[in-house]
Amino acid sequence: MRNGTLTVLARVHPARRGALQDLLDALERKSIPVIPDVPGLHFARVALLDCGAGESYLLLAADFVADCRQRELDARFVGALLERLESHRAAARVFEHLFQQCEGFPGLADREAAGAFLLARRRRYSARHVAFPYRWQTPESIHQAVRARQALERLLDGPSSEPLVPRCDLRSHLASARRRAALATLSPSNALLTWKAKRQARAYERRLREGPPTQGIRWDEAPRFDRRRIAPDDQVQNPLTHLVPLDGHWLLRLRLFLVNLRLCRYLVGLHQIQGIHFARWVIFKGAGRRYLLFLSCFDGTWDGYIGAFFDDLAVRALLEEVWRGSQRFAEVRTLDTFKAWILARQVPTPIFYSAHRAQRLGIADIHQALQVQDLTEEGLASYLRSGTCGPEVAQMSIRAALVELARWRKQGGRGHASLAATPRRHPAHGHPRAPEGRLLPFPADRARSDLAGEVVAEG
Amino acid sequence: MLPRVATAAADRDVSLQVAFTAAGLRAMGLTDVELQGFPPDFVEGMAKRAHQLGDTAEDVANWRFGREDQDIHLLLAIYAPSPKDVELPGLRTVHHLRAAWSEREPFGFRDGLSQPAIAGFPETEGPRTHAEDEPVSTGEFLLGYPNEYGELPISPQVGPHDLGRNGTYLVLRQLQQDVARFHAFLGEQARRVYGVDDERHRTLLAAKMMGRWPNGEPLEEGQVEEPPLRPGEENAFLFMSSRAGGCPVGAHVRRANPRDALGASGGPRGVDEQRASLRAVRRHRLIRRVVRYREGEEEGIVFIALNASIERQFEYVHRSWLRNEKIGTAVDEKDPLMSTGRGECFTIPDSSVRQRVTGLPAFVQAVGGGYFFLPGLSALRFLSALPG
Repeated sequence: MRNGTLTVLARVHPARRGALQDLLDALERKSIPVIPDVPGLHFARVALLDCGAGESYLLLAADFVADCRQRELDARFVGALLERLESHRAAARVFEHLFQQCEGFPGLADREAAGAFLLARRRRYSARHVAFPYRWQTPESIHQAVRARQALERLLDGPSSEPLVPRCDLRSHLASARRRAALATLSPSNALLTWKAKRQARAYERRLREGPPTQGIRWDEAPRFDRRRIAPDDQVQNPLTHLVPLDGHWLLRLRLFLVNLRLCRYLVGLHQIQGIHFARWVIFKGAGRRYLLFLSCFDGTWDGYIGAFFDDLAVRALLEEVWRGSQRFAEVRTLDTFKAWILARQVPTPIFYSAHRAQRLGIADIHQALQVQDLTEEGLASYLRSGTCGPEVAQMSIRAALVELARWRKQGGRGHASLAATPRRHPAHGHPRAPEGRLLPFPADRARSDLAGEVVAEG
Repeated sequence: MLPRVATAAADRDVSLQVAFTAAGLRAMGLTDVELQGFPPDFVEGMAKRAHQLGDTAEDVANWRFGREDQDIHLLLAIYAPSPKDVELPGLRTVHHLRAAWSEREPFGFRDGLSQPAIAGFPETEGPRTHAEDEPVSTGEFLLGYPNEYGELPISPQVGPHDLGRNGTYLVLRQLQQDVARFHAFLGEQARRVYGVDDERHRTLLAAKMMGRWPNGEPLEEGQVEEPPLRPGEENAFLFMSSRAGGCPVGAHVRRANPRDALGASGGPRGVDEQRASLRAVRRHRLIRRVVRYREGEEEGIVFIALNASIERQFEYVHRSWLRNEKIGTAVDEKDPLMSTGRGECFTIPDSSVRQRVTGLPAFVQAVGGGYFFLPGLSALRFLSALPG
């Protein structure tokens, strides 16, 4: 299983730009689905990018997994998308209508020509971050893990006799995803950028301590994007589309190549930003100048996300590598100006598809669900105690979880507060742990229900 | 009125503070262009931005003060040893709120314990005992000074006059607390979670939701009863240490000020992560002043927060931490004390299997509020001299 990142930029017919904008606005207002649920598709979006001088592009971006060779990924996805559209007539009509505003679109009737049109207009990403689950899991397998975790949670919450979903075997995919991440850790660019980030962080802290304060300035560009478009209750999977012209792009490709190698490592420098599903940068040429396109999908609030870029010094160093040379980025000094700089170049994302939005899954939920699926005995004990997977969690089957749960429920299923004896605490973890990592014996005075025993029998 | 306004130097029995809304500043004589020098969060006001705080339009329509149809100009905060009726010529009272300082808020917890130490203030001089205790930059609470980013934030100007210097933004919120419902819920859930409904288990459950014991002590690992108070030590703790290791990830005080635990879902963390968390949290601190009110049967608090940026401090804490459903371990957890009654839940780690409190009702309801500018004395003198 490999993950693919498709970015298609189709040039809009200059005379039809206005019509396309109206169409996108109407689609956004009415939340009409345009992208069908293609197997393996995690996220997709459609947006309109203006490059000045009357030149505009229609963006189609997708993040997906497919079981094929690396170089066949895009073609495989485009084929699957067009095939799926054939059975979704309403979505197909809108999709066709959108691309008919672009130069040279042959229509959907000829599937081969339409596929060739899209593939000819794709641009390769220069750097990307893909959250670990999306590197080896299909949407379906993620949902399966989430359902398994929910079932476990329901068992813990109250009487239930539904059998847990059996775990699916994705071990070989996991192994290859881990191998690639580990190789990235060894790459020289990783060491180079880590060293650079540390140096920058030290300089920043020294300036904070000793240097004169920076005078705040009012950014003189009006925001192009009204962030009130993001409702505060949209706390998961918010898309961000950002387009900036490049003033100087000397060595940018090389810098992005290094950044990309570093981002292959799992959550490099992004440990404070735990809500990124994916992010990518694409360089392209439009209206005679070069542009840097940034697409991402984040959990939490816009302010929290952008603030974390600025607050986390390692992330900040990485982003400075990426955006150095972008229009007016050199003038960004303070958090307020950084936010204003982003807002002045952020583009609305009128059409956004996510395979995980209906369940309101944050990236942390997905991590948790996948970890629960693979808990060790010790990890399970920790999960049952705290309701969350600590970092020590490694491997264990859901069956072992059920056996353990049955034991607990049989013995009462109550909180621990009423117990006279307090078990030994593990100093670092903050939760009691039995010697040699074995599970704590459950007190016998809590016998209440043997319901979970039935569940295990079914499972 | 001006000579009666309290200053830092004054130590008197009766003190007065004056704060303005954007409409108030306009009434004092500032032009719309000059008002644009103030940040948009303040100019728009709390009612317009209530969705940021989780209040629905319907809630706001029922507010006692601070609604968009009420043209509030001024907040007069009068502190006196006994109730005083103040007559101010030329001013019409929109809402009169009488409250008194109390050590405990209506649910029975000591309140206002965690306050930032502020750089440059005399009481913060001298050696610090704790990482949490490091003074926060003056500019986080007072305009005209460098903040935690090493920046001098943009200050509202009128001609050459810096209106912002020594001023700050004041957030006022009247919060009604349903004490009866809170205790009924504790009883019902203590029975469900611990199998016993007695005082001890109710207190334990309430402490888990709050993140502190009623006397203010942090929740130590495995502690099941309220420990004796260690005066002066109430704040000397980090969440990733054993002193507060019994505090659930989603508890109220941990959400409001995550200290070293920002982004942590459990388990040990590296020193660098703890340091990064402490540094990030310092950029979202508030000075809080809480007084308690009682009107007939109704009880609650008047919450006041002072900060240099309403959006980056007060609103951020609300949106990104208190109401963040991805803090905590269940999919739809929010602050257990700020639940809206839409089926939120709350997870309590336990020694063998975690417990979960479900179906949290709304215990606390905002019934009024507003954003104000609390000017420094020179700005106050300048404003009073305007021909408004």
